[in-house]
Amino acid sequence: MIPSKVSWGSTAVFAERDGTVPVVHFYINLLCGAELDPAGGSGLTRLGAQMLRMGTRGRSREQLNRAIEALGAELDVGTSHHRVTISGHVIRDNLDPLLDLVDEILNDPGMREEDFEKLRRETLADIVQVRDDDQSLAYRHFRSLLFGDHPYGRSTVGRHRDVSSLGWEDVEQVVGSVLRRAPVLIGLAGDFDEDHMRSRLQPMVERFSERTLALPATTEPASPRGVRVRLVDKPARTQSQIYMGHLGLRAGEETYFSTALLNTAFGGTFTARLSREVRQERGWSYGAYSRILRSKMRDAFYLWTFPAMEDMVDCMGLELGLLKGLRDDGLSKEEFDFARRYLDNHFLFAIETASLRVALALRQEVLELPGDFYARYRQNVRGVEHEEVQQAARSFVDPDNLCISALCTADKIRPALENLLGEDASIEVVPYDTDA
Amino acid sequence: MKDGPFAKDPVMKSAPETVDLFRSWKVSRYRFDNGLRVLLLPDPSTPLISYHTWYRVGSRNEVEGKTGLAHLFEHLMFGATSNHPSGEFDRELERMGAETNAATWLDWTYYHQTFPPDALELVLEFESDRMHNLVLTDEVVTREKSVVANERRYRVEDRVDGFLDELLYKTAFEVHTYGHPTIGWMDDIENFTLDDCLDFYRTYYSPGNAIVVVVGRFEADEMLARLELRFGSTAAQVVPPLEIGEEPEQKGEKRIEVSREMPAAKLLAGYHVPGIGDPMNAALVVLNTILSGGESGRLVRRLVHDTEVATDLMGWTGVFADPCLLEFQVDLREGRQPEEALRVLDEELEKVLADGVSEEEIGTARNRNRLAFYMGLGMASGKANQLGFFETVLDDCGALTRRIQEIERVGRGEVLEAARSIFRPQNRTIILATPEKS
Repeated sequence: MIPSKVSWGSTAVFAERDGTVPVVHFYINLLCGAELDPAGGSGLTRLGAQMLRMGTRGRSREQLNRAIEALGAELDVGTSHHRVTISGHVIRDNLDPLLDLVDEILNDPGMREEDFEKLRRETLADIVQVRDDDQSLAYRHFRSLLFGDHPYGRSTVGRHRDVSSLGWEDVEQVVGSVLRRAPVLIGLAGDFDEDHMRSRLQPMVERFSERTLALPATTEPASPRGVRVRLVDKPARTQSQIYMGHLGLRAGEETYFSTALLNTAFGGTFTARLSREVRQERGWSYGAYSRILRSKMRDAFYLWTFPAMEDMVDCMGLELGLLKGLRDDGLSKEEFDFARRYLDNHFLFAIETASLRVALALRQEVLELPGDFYARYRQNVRGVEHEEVQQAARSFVDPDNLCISALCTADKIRPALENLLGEDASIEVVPYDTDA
Repeated sequence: MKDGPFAKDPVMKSAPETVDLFRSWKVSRYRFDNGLRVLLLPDPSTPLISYHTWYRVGSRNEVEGKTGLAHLFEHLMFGATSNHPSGEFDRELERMGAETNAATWLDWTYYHQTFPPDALELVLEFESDRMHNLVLTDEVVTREKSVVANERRYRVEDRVDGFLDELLYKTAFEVHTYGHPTIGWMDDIENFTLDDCLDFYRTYYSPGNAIVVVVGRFEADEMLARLELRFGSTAAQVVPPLEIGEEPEQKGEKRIEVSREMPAAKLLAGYHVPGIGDPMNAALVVLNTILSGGESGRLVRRLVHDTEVATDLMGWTGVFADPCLLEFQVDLREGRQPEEALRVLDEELEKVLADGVSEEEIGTARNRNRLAFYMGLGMASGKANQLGFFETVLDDCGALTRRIQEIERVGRGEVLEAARSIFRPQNRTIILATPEKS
């Protein structure tokens, strides 16, 4: 079901052939990420990774783009906190020339300073554009408030001031000493011949054997105490964007399945408790969901709603009450049974296609989960007992220690919010164009 | 046909048709006595079934003062029926692990569920039930109007892109109902009555106005028998003919300047083009790919990479039944003016009009569209979506495959001809949006 790891030389590969349509999907994961960005240097790893798409020694960015797209291919470079992924899709008949281009990108990048300057200007412009997106702004501030100086508190794209201050030498250094030395994981799915692929990738894979970078251990984020609110002030809002939560869990946590059930029943689906109370019962917010994000270290647990400005404080009060209820009373038996059956059946979506199965196998490996984690996923879901979820509610849900980020027109709601939260809560107001 | 509880002959007037989709994939198409159309595509490569119900009603069917009714109704369809209380539909399907949702646009409204095969009977029960037995009350309508108003704030009022797109269509279409926003004007949303909703339901929600598409892990004969059992005995109902004013040819450029709270300026340009069924559509898709596709599209290169006027450029050819728009949206960099982007846009369009496009560009566009076609066939829900779309808008799900074949046949001459017919200043609407001065 989930492809097993095989070794091509010293490189781990997850591959599954599927000839349903003549397309090949590939994922080359470099095991390094934005967690390595230095303080004051957020965005550095991403800039280095994006330099791989700015041309090779033999091709300008323009020529490279044309060459890739002429093949009917898409090739993206993405950066998360723990990996850089070069991924794409290509029409089967054009696989070989695309692999030549990927090899060229990885092993012979152009690394021209003028391209870096252009990339930096583009990145800074993109950071400014995010101010147009209320939801993204609220989420970014939520993470900044929750994680503080920890790498998880910084966007992988970087802060405006940090990206402005990064120099060509910084990027050369991160490409040379990190991106070109980081170990590689390969994922392949689709309509390819495995023997042909293996021999075709052999030269590239042999060079990967020289990649032996050892990453420093990631530190655990600290859990903020008390209730801390940041109002991200934007003029003339008719609607707020609210993120409310605390630290989540590590991917490999023992309570993975009990907390997954807890969140599913509370805010993980359209009919879950949160959506029922906020949307179905009161019509306050078009969407109302909660998520537990899981990574190598404790990521975030949050509730997301977007009520009209006039309903904002009432909605926050309701959410606080729901969190307290979840901690104190957990789930009803009906909610528990619902969540268990939902998660069990819904897993089929995660494995519907070969490319999804390969992506899961890669995630399992990157997050250092047990080798049979996803193979046993449904079995483990079925094995959770109601009492385990009740215990998880008591130990995990923490409404007394919350971070809340709300994008809104602040002067309209501050008095009511102070009234709701009381004197112990700290409330700060920042302009929406603050560099978070 | 298999033996079993559903082993009975379906009642149909038309003989089943087979539509070749791709490789050995064949879609079976049926029409029931009551007008319901059914498309079946068994696909053992997926562990799921995707079930779509498309209704041929969208915001095109709305009149002034009642905009947004088709979309509001999409929400109401998840409420109580005479057989099931409110919320049961979503709850029971989620319990089975299903994903369920709906969407409304100019020409259609569709409801979709994707689920493990053992949820099939439940889906059939709920979908057939809500086609006829929806229970609407003042309380239900009032609450859902509040949710939709909030959705409008989310998508339009507080989102510049949504606001500008609405403004573009409102300005470009003076007669045709494509000028109405699908989500509806806020005043209209707030003023809908229970009677509006009941009338709408009685008019448009019937088997003769619907298309059921099922793709995934099932046996076609058995599925057909189950559908016949659920829908076959329902009486036919006539949907009144729709009278929509034809949009007159635009005689001069329309230009709107607007200021909003936003970090940088934007430019929108919309050119009137024929509908998706027009022979020119394939050439327009190729033309748009050459101009806006990927990172190597001409406008992307000029606006984003070379001149650094913009952070992003998006181009899109409308996929609607009636004449619509080919749109460009340029997100400018902070401090740049929309007139700069318009100048570059005009220069690039002039080059196309003067020199046409190259064979290399045609080849790239062909490959990019072929990849997009294949990618759309990856999951059961993607296949069902595309089959339902083409059957609804062009009365023929086979147009899905034909369209990519037409795109692959487009040559330089057709692209130039298409460009010359649409890239005329008098055929366009321009929105110049700048940040509000604080």
